[in-house]
Order: sequence, then structure tokens, then C-alpha cells
Amino acid sequence: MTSSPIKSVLVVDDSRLARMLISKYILSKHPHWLILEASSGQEAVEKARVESPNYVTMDYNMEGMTGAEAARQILRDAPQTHIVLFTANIQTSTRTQAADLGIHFVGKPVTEQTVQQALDYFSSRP
Amino acid sequence: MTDLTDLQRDALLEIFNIGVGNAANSMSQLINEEIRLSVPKLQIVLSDHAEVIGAFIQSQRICAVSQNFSGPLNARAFLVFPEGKTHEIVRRMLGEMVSADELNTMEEEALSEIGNIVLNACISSMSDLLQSDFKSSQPFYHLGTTHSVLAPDNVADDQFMLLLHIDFSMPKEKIDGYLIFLLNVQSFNELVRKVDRLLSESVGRP
Amino acid sequence: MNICRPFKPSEQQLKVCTAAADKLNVGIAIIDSLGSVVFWNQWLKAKSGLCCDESTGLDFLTIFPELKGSRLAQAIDDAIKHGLPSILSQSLNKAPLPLFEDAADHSLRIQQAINVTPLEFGDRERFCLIQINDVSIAVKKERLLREQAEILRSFAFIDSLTGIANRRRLDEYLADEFKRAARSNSPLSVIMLDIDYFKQFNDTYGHQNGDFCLKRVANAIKATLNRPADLVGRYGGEEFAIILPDTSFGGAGTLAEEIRKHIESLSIPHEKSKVAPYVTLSLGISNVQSYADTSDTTLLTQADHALYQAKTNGRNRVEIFRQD
Repeated sequence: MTSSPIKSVLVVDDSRLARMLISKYILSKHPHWLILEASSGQEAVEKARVESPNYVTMDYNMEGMTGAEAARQILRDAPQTHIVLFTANIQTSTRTQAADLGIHFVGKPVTEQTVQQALDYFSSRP
Repeated sequence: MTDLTDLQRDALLEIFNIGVGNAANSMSQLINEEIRLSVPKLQIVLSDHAEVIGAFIQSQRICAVSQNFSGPLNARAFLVFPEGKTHEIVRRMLGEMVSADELNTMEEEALSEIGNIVLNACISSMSDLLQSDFKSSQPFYHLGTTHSVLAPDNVADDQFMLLLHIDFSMPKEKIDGYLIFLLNVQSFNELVRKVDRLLSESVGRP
Repeated sequence: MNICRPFKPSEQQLKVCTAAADKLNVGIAIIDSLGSVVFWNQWLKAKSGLCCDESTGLDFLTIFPELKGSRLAQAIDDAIKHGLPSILSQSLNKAPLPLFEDAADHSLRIQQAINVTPLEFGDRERFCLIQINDVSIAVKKERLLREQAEILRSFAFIDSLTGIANRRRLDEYLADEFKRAARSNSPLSVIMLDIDYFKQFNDTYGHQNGDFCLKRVANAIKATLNRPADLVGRYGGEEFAIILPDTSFGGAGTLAEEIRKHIESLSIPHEKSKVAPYVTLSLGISNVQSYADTSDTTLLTQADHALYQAKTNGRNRVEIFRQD
């Protein structure tokens, strides 16, 4: 596990609890990965520009810019970024938006299993 | 003592946002239309602070659906709408063809189910994240003044109220709803204890 | 007081319970924590066309694949996983399960009201009880009554000459809208209008043409209103009223002016009119300033005052009511 190359993940969620949980489960699998955090879509876009993370987990409902819009802007700046939309908004329309953007969808709550789904997606796209 | 830390608040909001996210999914399946639900605001008051509650709900008369749930903590949960706003929601769910008369007769039934969906989803989310098992009553429908509907049973006890503001966003309109949990001191403390446990377990970094 | 004997039923008791369940006039299904059907009664067997023997023990969602991802499936999940009860009302869910009046003929699906309840026995496995009520008859009866009532109502509320609302409908609508507006403290406006020198029009062109003129004016006003909540009705004779919920003085003024111009542009000849050689309107507007000291009837009276003002100020114009 530790032999895997070090990656950076930007965890975007307006809930600090959600960010804590996502980080915790990622670090339990990949202790050396670098975790960055953002609490809004705007902040995520700015951080992604500066830090160029390999992966992003993105909440949908946030004050201001939605997660889908933030994902679109991050992909425009850096198309090689792999993004998972990680949200409680599990409706078909949200899934469709994710599919249209070419990003992966994982439904909340944040648990070991759901974070694993996101990690499985990331590892399929190194 | 009704003050929560920012982190405790954040955890509760996340729990309820996951709950209403699931509820929105069930509701949008019923009407084949997108509904977005989110819980942006949380406030905790003592239940005798009628003026705070009135200001939060911004209506003197309300329509509500309640379920009593019990387990490690006991509470009465309400989904509340200001009277008059429920028409729009129900109309959207039943379709435009429904006449005004028909709407009135179906409103109680339809709202009870909407309340049941939202409350069950929130209780499920609490149960998942706080790792607790709850039992729940069937939903009850209420219509009346804010005071009469939300009045606690045992006035002897101090009761806390968890007030949560829900945004119901449908393609053509936005409706404000409220989620209210009425709980006594012991249950409130138990809730805080469970939230703290969730938070302490969430800390991953050394 | 313990009415029932302690639970450890004899074979006899089990038989009695099963027989009773089979006689019930509701559908009963019991599902275990893995989602398999452990019991369902005669009613369900008959209406689904499925036989108990071949379906008990099967996964409920295998028996009814169309339920996957549905509200009912979610409700069963809530009952088993979280111990939560659910109601599926007939209003929001028409007929979740494929149940039919005649199991051989799938054209008549039964309308259902469903209750999903967790069954718990201490710390042991949780089961789920599904109760299904046939509400088809209630739904049908309701619909029939509603249709009849609707037809009767529509006759009682329509002006037979012009086909728009009559005075009774206007009064009722205004009373309702007034209450609603007062509750939400939102604006409400009323326009009263009539056709200038209509008596002379009738005298000149005859009653038949007079009626025709009323119809054209009614239709033209109706066409100008583009919000579903706005209602125009014939108040009596050549007088019309328009009720405009959520509309301020300004909004009502713009609309009134639009209507006035629209009728002018129709150029219906009226040689005896003293304002113009064609049919024109005078209009008066009132608007609720304070719900505390207005009623729905004073609102009409005020609009009527404003209309009178428009008449005395030379007709073919819009006036608004001003409190002196």
C-alpha cells in the first residue's frame, strides 16, 4: 500500500464533518497522500489552480457555486484531474449532470464503503 | 447550555442534509420532477421561547406532520410549513389537472406522506451516523397555531427545540419548510454526546 | 391486565390466526429481514394472481421486479433496516403493486393505500408488515362526485352571454383572494370598467349587436390578461370587473391602460358616442392600502368610485381611487 505513488486529493465540502471523515478514510488507506481541503466551490477552483491535485472529491450543494460548476471549471483549467461528485443529492438529475461532465458519482453518507468507491474510481485512473 | 460548538452544528447539519437529500430523491420519483432539499440553518431554543420560534417560522399558523421517535434519545419530530404554502407543494405533486376542491381533500393525505418521507429519511440518517436504533410512530397531521401544534406534552420539563430551516427548491418555485425536534434535557444531552462521539471518531490525523 | 396468553402459540392458535388473515378484506404480506416473503394472505393471492406456495420464501422484489428503486421498496427498507413505519397514500401513489380486480384481466389495476410497519420482537430479527387497502371504489366515487359538482359549479359561475365569470363567481373569488392576500400581506387590485354610452349603442344598433359588442369586449379583456390568477367577470349590464392578485396600483394601471387601448384598436363603430366614433371604455382602479381597514366589498366600491371619476372626467380613460 505504501509503495503506491504519493497523490494529492482536494476534498471539497461545506461540512467540516464530511471533510474530516473523507480525509480520515483516505488516509487510513493511503497514509502518505496529501489531503487539501476547500469549503466552497470558489475556494476549490482557486486551490485546484494553485495546487493541481491529482484527484478531487466534490460536494454538490454549497453556498454560492455548486459542485458541478466548480468541477466544470477545474476540468477546464486542468482536464487531467479526476473528480468524484460526493453528495447527498442522489437524484437522477444530479447523476446525469455528473455523467455529462465526465465525472464519477458517489452518494453520501460518507462511510468507509462510499470513500472506497471513490478510491476505486481514482485507482482506475492513475 | 443551548450553545453548540461550530463543529457540533456542522455535524448536525450534515446529518440532516444527508437525510433530506434522500427524501428529495424519493419525492422527485413521485412527481417525476427535480426537487432539491437542503438544510442551511440550525438554531436551538428552549421550547417556551415562543417568539423565537415564531420569528424562525415566520408564520402564526402552520401545517405540520409529526412522528414520535424513541431509542437512545426520545423526540417528537415535525415537518412544518407555514399555512397556505402547502397548497403549492401538493399541487406540484398531484399535477396541474387537480381542481381546488380536490386539492383540499387530498392535501392532508399527501402532506402526511411527504412528512413521513422527510422525517423517516432524517431519522434514518441520524440512526446511521449516530449509530443508534430508533423506533417511530406513524405520522400525525396537524393544522393550527404555531403554539398549539408545537406545544410540548409535559410542561413540567424544560424542553429543547432543534429548529432547522429546509429549502424546498422545485423547478418553478422555492418553498421554506422547517424541521423541528422537540426533546427534553436528557435527550438533548444524549444527542450532543452522540454527536461528540461521531466527531471524535472522525478525526483521522494523528 | 394480560388479555392474550403468552406468545408461544399452539398449532390451533396459528391455524386460527392464518384463517383470520385469509378472511381479511385487505392485503397482508410479511417480509423478513432479508426481503423474503414469509406470509401473505388470500386477498393478495387473489388480486396478484400469484399463488402463495410458489411465492412465499421468494424475495419480494423478485416477485415484483417493477418495484426496484421505488418508494415502496424504500419504505420496506426503512422498516427493516431502521424500524421506521411508512404510509403510501392513494393521492401520491396511484397503484404501486400490480394488483387487479380480476387477476386474469390486467386492464383494471387496483388503486391502493399502503401501510408499511416494522414488526419487532425484542432483540430478534425485524420483520416488515405490508397492509394494502383497495381504495379503487373510493377513488372512483370521489372522481364522479367531483366531476358532477364541477359541471354544476361551472354553470352557476359563468355568465351565459359572454362565457366569462359572472358576478357570483367574481364575489366569491374576490372574497377568497382578499383573505389570501391579507394573510400574506401581498398587494391586490381591482379594476371596474364599463362601455361608454352603451345605452346609445343599443338604441342605434339594436340589442343583438349590443350583445355582440359585449362578447367582443369580454373576449378582448380576457385575451389581455395573461396570468392564470387574474379573473375578469361580467358584473352586470355593460359593467365588468377584473380581480388582480399580487398586483400593485402601478401594475393594475398599466394593465387597465392596455385594455383601454386594445378596445380602442378594435374600432367597433359607435356613431352616437360623444367621445369617439368607436366603442371606448372607462376604467376605475382600486388597490388595498391596508388590510386592517379595508374589506373585499369596500375594494369594489372604491373601484366603482374611480370608474365614476373616469366618467365625469370625460370617459375613455383610466382613473385610480384616491382616499381623500
